[in-house]
Amino acid sequence: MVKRQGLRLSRKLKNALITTAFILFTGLSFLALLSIVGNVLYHAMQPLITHVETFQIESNELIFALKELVLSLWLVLLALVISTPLALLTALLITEYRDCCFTSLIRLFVDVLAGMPGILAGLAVYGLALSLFQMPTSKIVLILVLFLFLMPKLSKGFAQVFNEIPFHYREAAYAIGANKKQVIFHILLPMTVRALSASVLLGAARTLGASAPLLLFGVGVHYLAVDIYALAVRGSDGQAADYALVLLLLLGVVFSIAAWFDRDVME
Amino acid sequence: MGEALAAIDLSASFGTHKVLHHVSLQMPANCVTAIIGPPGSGKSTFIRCLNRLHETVPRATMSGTVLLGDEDVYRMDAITARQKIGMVFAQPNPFPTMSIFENVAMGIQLRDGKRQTYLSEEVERALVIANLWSEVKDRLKESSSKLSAGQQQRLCIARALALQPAVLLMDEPASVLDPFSTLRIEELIDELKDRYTIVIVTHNLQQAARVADRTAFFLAGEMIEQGTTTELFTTPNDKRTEDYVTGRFG
Ligand SMILES: Nc1ncnc2c1ncn2[C@@H]1O[C@H](COP(=O)(O)OP(=O)(O)OP(=O)(O)O)[C@@H](O)[C@H]1O
Ligand SMILES: [Mg+2]
Repeated sequence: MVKRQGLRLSRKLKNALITTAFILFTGLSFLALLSIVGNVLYHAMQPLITHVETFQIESNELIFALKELVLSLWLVLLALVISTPLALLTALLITEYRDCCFTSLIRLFVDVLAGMPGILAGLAVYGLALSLFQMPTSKIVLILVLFLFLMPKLSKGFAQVFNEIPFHYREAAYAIGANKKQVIFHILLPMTVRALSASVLLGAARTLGASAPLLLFGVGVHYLAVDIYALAVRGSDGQAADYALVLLLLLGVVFSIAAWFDRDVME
Repeated sequence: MGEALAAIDLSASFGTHKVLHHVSLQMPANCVTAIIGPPGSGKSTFIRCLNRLHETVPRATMSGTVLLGDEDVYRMDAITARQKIGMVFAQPNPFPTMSIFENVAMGIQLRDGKRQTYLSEEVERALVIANLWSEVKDRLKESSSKLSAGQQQRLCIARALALQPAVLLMDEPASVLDPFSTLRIEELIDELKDRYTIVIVTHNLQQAARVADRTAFFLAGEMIEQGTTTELFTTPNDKRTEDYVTGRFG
């Protein structure tokens, strides 16, 4: 009797500990997020509040930031256009053609590349572009860098989406006479299209927010995340915060759309 | 109409792990044949060899002959074989992003192409045979995931029947269902055997006794004994069969 009560007590204690840890960590990460948003907002708004007469300049800056944003978006969009189909093929190869002999090699390759720091993607293409074309900041080179950064991450995300579909759905399709291609096109893709779209958006958001891949190329690349870095290093905190605000707003929008895509469809 | 199915000297492996040893079994037309045996005895592997689903598993191999009527299943195209020999699984698994209608229509669309004038007739026919029509006829466009588990399983049966197969294989079709839904599936099996040859794997001996005309007992990848269900349950020839059907093991 005493022993059982002791057991129950220890289980209660364990539950309480887990709950506390959960609340604590969620709270902490939420606080961190809030402080980032707050900080950016504060820096962006401060000049507005303290001296209203400089508002003109500030709004000019905002327009500048928006321009940079459009340019960055354009780059990321082009990189997405190239990498999405390739990543889709790679993910299908990894997940649906496991018995093919190269598959495990490709999976390893994708895993390694997906974990590669962005700066390395930049470095690789930078060196190549410098020695081959002598024009390291041409749009094509930048897109290539983003592609190299994005493609493996997308492939991995897509592969995860496919792996989450239980095998018995594929079997159900085979059992009514589907061939492999039909399983992919008629069953797998329709079942995953939302999750895949969400992964594309998350990939885009991650690329937009990453300064590392294009850092080497300098401010001339008109890439928002790089600008923020450069401005902050130069000591123009307010301006950096303006840019960061624009980026943050955009990422908020993208993440919301992604969450909407990925919502539970089986309501 | 159902056609007789016969397995002759069937062996199967996963990689080097041999799980089915020289099994021969006659499954007469328009009969319900039950396959019973303890977990891991190769029941699922056996029926998955019958509709050539076994070969979709990487590194899985098999040898032997399967005859549908007098046609060799392994000489025809695998797709054709699976269209003629339908299958239903333990876990009801309608495609969750498709509507009830689309689920039943899928097999026909995969075979004949997307838009067919006879599609809705065929879907209705299959749903009627699967005893689901009256429950879903006003909600064909709704998602299949809104159905109860028992309804989902009957939807899966309809999905298989839409292709007008000769044989229906069922791998523990009621093992995750409540008693009432199980009863409905059993009643359905009884109706279906007029049109199809049925092979059902089951853990539930009472279920085998209730629905099956013939029963085969599997143990460790071998077919130990087969016969009419009454024979096998009342006067088994093999000691191991007797032990199993009297509940002394397994
Ligand atoms: N995909 C697989 N890969 C490797 N081995 C497998 C696979 N599926 C089944 N096996 C093995 O084959 C043997 C027979 O399995 P099978 O599923 O045919 O048994 P079963 O009689 O249907 O069992 P249960 O009653 O549990 O469903 C088991 O030893 C199992 O471990
Ligand atoms: Mg089984």
